[in-house]
Amino acid sequence: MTLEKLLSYDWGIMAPEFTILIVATLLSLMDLFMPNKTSRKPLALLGIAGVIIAIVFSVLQIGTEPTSILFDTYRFDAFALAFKLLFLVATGLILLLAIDYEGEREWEFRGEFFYLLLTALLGAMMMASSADLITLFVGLELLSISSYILAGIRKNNLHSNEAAFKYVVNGGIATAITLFGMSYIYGLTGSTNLYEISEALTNPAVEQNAFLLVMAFVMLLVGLAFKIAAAPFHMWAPDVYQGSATPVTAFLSVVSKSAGFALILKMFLITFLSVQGWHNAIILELQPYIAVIAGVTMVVGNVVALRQRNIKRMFAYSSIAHAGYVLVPFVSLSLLVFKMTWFYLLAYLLMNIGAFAVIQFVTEKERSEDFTAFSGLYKRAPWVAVMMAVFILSLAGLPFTAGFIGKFGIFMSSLGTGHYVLASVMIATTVISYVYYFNILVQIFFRKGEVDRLLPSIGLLIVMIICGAGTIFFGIYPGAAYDFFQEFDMNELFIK
Amino acid sequence: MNGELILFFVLALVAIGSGILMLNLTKVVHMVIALVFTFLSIAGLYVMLSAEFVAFVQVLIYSGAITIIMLFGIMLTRHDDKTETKIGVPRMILVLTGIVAFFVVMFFQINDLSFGEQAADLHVDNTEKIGIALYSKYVIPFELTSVLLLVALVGAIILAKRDDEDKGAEDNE
Amino acid sequence: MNPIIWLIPVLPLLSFVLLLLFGRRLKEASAVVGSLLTLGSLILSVVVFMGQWGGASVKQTAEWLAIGDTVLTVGYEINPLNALMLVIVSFVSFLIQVYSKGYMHDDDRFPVFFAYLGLFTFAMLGLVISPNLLQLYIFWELVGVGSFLLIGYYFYKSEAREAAKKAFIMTRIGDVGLFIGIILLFWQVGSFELDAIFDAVTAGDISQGWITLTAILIFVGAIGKSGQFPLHTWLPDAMEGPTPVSALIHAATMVAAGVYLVAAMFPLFEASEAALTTVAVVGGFTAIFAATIGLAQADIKRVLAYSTVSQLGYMMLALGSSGYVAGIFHLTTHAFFKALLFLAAGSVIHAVHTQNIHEMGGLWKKMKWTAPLFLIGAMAISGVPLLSGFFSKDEILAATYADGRFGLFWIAVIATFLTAFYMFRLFFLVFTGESQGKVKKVQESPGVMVFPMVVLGILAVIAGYINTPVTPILDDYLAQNPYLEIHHHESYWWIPIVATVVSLFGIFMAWLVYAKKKVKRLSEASPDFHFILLNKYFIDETYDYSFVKGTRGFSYFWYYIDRFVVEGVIQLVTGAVGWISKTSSKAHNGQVQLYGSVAFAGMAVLLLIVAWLGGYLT
Repeated sequence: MTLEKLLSYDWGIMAPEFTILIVATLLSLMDLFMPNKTSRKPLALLGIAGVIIAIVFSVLQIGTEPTSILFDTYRFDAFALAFKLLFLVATGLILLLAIDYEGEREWEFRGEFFYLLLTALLGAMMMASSADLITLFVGLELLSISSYILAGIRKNNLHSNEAAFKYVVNGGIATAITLFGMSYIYGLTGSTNLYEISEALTNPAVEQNAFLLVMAFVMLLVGLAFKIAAAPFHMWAPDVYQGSATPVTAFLSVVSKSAGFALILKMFLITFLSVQGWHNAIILELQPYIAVIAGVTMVVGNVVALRQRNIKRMFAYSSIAHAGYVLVPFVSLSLLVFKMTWFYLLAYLLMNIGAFAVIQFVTEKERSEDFTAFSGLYKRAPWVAVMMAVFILSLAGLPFTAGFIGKFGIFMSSLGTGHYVLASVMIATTVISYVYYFNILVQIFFRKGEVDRLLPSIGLLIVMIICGAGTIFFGIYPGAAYDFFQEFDMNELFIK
Repeated sequence: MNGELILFFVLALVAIGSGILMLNLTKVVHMVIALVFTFLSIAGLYVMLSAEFVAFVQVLIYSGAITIIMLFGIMLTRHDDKTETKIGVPRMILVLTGIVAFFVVMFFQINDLSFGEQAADLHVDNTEKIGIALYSKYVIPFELTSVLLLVALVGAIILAKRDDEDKGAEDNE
Repeated sequence: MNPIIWLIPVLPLLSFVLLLLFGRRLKEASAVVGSLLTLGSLILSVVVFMGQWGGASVKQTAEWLAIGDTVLTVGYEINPLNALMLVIVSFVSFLIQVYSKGYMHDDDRFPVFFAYLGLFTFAMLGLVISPNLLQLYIFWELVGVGSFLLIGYYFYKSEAREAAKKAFIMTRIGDVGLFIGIILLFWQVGSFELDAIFDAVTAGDISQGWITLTAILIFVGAIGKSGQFPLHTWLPDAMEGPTPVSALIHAATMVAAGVYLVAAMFPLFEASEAALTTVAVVGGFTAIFAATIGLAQADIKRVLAYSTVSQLGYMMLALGSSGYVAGIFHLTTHAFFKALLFLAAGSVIHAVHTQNIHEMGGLWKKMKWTAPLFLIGAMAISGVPLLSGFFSKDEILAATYADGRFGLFWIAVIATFLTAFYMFRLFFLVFTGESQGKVKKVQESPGVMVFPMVVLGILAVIAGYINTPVTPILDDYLAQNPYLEIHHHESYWWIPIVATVVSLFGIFMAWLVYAKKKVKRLSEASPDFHFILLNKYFIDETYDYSFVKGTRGFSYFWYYIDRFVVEGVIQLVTGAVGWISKTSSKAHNGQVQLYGSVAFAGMAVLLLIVAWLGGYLT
């Protein structure tokens, strides 16, 4: 390959990724040369600026034809763009959260946090915009390794150490399993390119080894189930979420999880559907197992959440449960899968980051992560309490919130494809979830707590307002998001 | 049974045996030695698969660099650490079931395997081919890996560095 | 878009938003803002209602979102039934806001209360004008939220918190049924639109089994909201809320939502005999069941609560017996007289600061307005001739009889007796006899509280005349709905007589039992009446041993069934969930090795199962 050929690719299409990479590098250099006892918070502003530039680039790319660089090791298409936008928006909001995080004495001087968040974001973006197993895997690892460090960044905190350690060990297991599955697929098809793999699957020599192929995909599924914290591969999540700094928890539960979903959708759908269409034998065979994983995840997440007193742990289980919901459209495969998943992830992004903003606010003021820290919040900070109510109602899936529309869409799509059992499990577990969501509301509105007034800082306030407004807006007028999503032609995903 | 197969079995047994030994030995230094054996036998397996370059890297990095760093680490810290083995019966059963199930499945998979025709020229210009692929076709993941390594490095520094020390330790990145 | 219609629910919403934003500054003026906006809704509702006389239904929808091929719409629909509901809801809501200005005056969260009332009224009005089931369901949930907030208004009382929680969860159980019903209907019909569903039912596109199933599931939702057996236990507990709330939510509006739902979906119910029978049996059973419990309660609001449950049972019984008009008729009259009773009870509580009827007594002379108004309400609900309850109850009895449900008919007659009995027990204990209370200086409530009661009192008397056998106005009005066949049953001359005799007998009994001390003293003073008094004493004894003890036992029997069996089943379900939760959270003991082992074993087992079921292990 000549340099000329290398330069002939449209590298400009990678502008969002380059932006993030450059900003991350800049931040790390600035962190290095800043005096020791200078607050690193301004770095976050630069980080946010970088994210906004990347968002602008991405928005400008809407409608661009699918572009492939170097045999799909980087691939731009509507699918990638739609998911990258989610990651970018979420990371921007989390950076805002992080500015006002006051975990520990030295937190202010932890500039690493901001650029590690960006490298993690870069990993997530690569996971969405590649069609090559190797790039996907490296992106996954970049995200994971950055997350491990982020989880352990409060190194004087015992919980944080524990979180990082557990995350590394469990993540290692997951990586091993994923890689093992990938090696099988490469071994069978002789290619790392998802489209070539898809073509190879019709090859009789490969079809003969259907067993191996199924096993490989099960292992991939299991490996990625770790990432999205689906049962029974979820056990790390509560400890890690609890131990990490709140912005990190928000990142793990939103960006990391969404990236996992993007990867699952991409990998499975391209390999199975781009050549063989929607009624592929292997995917039909795997469907019941995914359904079981989704069902068990919903049950375990919601039921165990009932007994949690630590608010972050409770939200960890809640987030596990939500992973179960998002798996449902993947089970009930239809053309709606992208729309439903994307919208749910959008709603989840808004309500979860919003909720974490409130959690960060309350746990910091109260110096306690017990859910009784919320008692009397309505008296102390009425607007924050109302926002939290909006987020909680949305997480619980009550009407007039984005969470309701998301859940409703998923529910309808699963009914439409005849997955009644899964739909029933979804309803039943949703009802169970009311109980613990409700307990928080009871604390906020009906319990007496301290009487002093609390005021959130500007950053938190902005996050809460954006998330709250979004949650309600998309709950009342979901058409806005759906129309926006129409801009993305998901069929591009299947065109080589 | 030809020589190749015998060699495979020997290497495989050493790899697995050392792995089990590593888990069950109580002294840290012994564990590292057991680990070296696993690494070496895996390198041997790579050679058998005509992947000389990978085998070479395996010996160089894993058996060499990583093991040495581990030994240094052990020497420089308290090297009389012993592991406490306290594994309950239920978990033993759990793990055992897992291993047996995994083995059964794997065995059936591999037993059934039929690949059709095989590439014969795998050993030719092995290293060069890897180099070309890495720097042309796979340049994006390659560059991404460099970011990944940087992150890992920074992470290691962040987690290992003592806070009260001078911030200049970060110069390493 | 007709602004008159969509403004009806929007005005209370506006009141909610305004009071939430500026409530702290408005303070007492919140009541004025809330009442005026609700008055606006009321005026518009009346205009819409007037337009429905002879006018055709109005329906307006807009696309909301599209999922695949399914287009979901939002909008409003006005037909005779919901125009009537609009008037009832906005009217009662308005009166109660006026009343609350007096009742809640010393509460420090005054504006919040009115904000909640606005939210609730908005939800209720939105529910009523929904043209499709999905929108209806959304508002249905919102009504639940509003009711939850209002019941838990005194959140510093643990009973209020528990009651709010219970109400929310119990009605939610019903809501799940409703939701499943809606989804199944959608699956069968392919649309959430009420019209489309009725068209499909009429055209026979849905099989009989599906109609029955979906109708019963929808009825489950109504059971939850309308406090029918076995999901009624939240309603008496909900009396922990402020009394105006009890009057608004638990007398006139929210609990009537269940009845409204069945009425709105009546073409569906009508298509299935089994569904109608279910509705009738549940309604009839609830009517008598709740009435017996009402006999033994000591809390004035709880008596009224059980009475509400019982009256809602009547409405369901009417609907289940194809008495569409009768059900709606009773809903209307009941809204007036039950709201009146609650407001009067509130006025009493306001004056004596207790809810225990054994601590009251002798209030007749002290409360010149409240007492006669309460009496009017009690007479209306008991079915004393020429008051509103008399006509509507007769209508129900006649409908039940005409439908050939004789067993239920007699149950309803007995329930009429019980109703009269416990209502007058309440009346005699509270207003006659000696004062048992600690508060000596009892004052009549202020004019702002009396005024709504007077208005409701007038309506409780005259509302019945909208549908007498001579003036079937409501009959003709509701018959305009094209999907309905209004059954015109023949009138039975003897039913009103039986009903009257039975209810007067009930009142008489109550008088004997609870006002008898007076009689006794009278007997000692004038020996001429000795014989009669002896006789009365004899009846009283018989009554005491056979009836009071008997019914009281019966009442306690049901009360305990209620407390231990019904609640026990619910406890069992929650307990099971709790147990699973406990066991599985134990598994998360924080050991990373365990997590690894579980994950690995999980994967291996999953692989094995896939391989096994896939038939690869050969």
